[in-house]
Amino acid sequence: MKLTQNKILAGSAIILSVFAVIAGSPFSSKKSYINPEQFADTLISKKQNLTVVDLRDKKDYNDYHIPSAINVNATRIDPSTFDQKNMIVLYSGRDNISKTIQYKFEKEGFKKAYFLNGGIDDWMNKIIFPVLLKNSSEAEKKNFENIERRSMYFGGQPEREDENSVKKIYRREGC
Amino acid sequence: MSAPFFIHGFFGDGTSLLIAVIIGIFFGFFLERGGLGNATKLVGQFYFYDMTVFKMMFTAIITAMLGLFWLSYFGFLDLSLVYLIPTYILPQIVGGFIFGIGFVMGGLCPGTSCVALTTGRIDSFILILGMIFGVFVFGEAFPLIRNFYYSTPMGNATFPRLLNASYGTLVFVVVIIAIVGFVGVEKIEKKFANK
Repeated sequence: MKLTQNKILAGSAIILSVFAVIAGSPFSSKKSYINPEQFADTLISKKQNLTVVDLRDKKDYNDYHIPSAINVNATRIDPSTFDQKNMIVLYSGRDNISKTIQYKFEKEGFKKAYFLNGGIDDWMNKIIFPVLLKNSSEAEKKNFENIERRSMYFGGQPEREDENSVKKIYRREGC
Repeated sequence: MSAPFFIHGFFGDGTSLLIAVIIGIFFGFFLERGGLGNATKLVGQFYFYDMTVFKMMFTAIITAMLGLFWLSYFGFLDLSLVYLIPTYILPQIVGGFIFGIGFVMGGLCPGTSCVALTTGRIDSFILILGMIFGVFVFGEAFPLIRNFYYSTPMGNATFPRLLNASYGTLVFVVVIIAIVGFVGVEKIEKKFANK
């Protein structure tokens, strides 16, 4: 069999993709983010000294913010005014602001600074308005009891989808 | 030092725009060299006698996908900082159909129409005028379609999240689909070549 350029390229792609299966995830092991569920549990447990920072506009912050969050303007935030010993969770809307600011903290030597994965949108969808879809498995139904308890703690409205209910999805208009 | 360089503050707005222009020129150059500035060639995709678009797009997809995966894995790029356009499934399907109809009618997509213009093709000039007119109409009509535009939100929907599979597995699946596709479309091209 003659090895053409195309065959060599295809072979290389296959080899790299096989190694990708073994590697699994392209993300580095050090997590710079925290998922809404994990974050909610951290807030409930009160075990950590936690600083929650809302990087959105004052208006959005006043409309709704995660309990205990302080509002800091993203352009004026100064990591040196925060305590490095505290766990810091930064969140914003549907954008990269919280990720950028988290990197700023990391560069300043903060070991426990995270951005909230999915921002306020995922917080609303997963913690405040979680929905148990119709046709969910028994395991999912059982797990939803925990999700409901967590949601209620934050004053949320969990919903079990049935024939008469309409799925609620939090949506923030505009970018 | 790792990418994305702009988010990490290695350069400012002005430099980022300059880099965007340079990348754009290279993108256009390779599209033109790949023959995608030619409407006849692009339309061949829809009649199955020339599958260059499929081959070029899938080559670009697997090159970028493998590149991003391994650059991120070795810490040269923070993939979590790469912006994903949020999914609004229904309006995006409708948008895709409108785009597809325009593509098959005009024979060019927005990028390739600009590329075609550089080689002096008049049809591309008319298409670009139409595109600007379309952008204007869309902008003016936006208040009317705003609710539809933001309907069926799915957040940053990615296949690993939707299918609950690892990124690596999906990389492998896409590479296999591409390679099987390359072999398949070569056969299709031969079949439809003289039709």
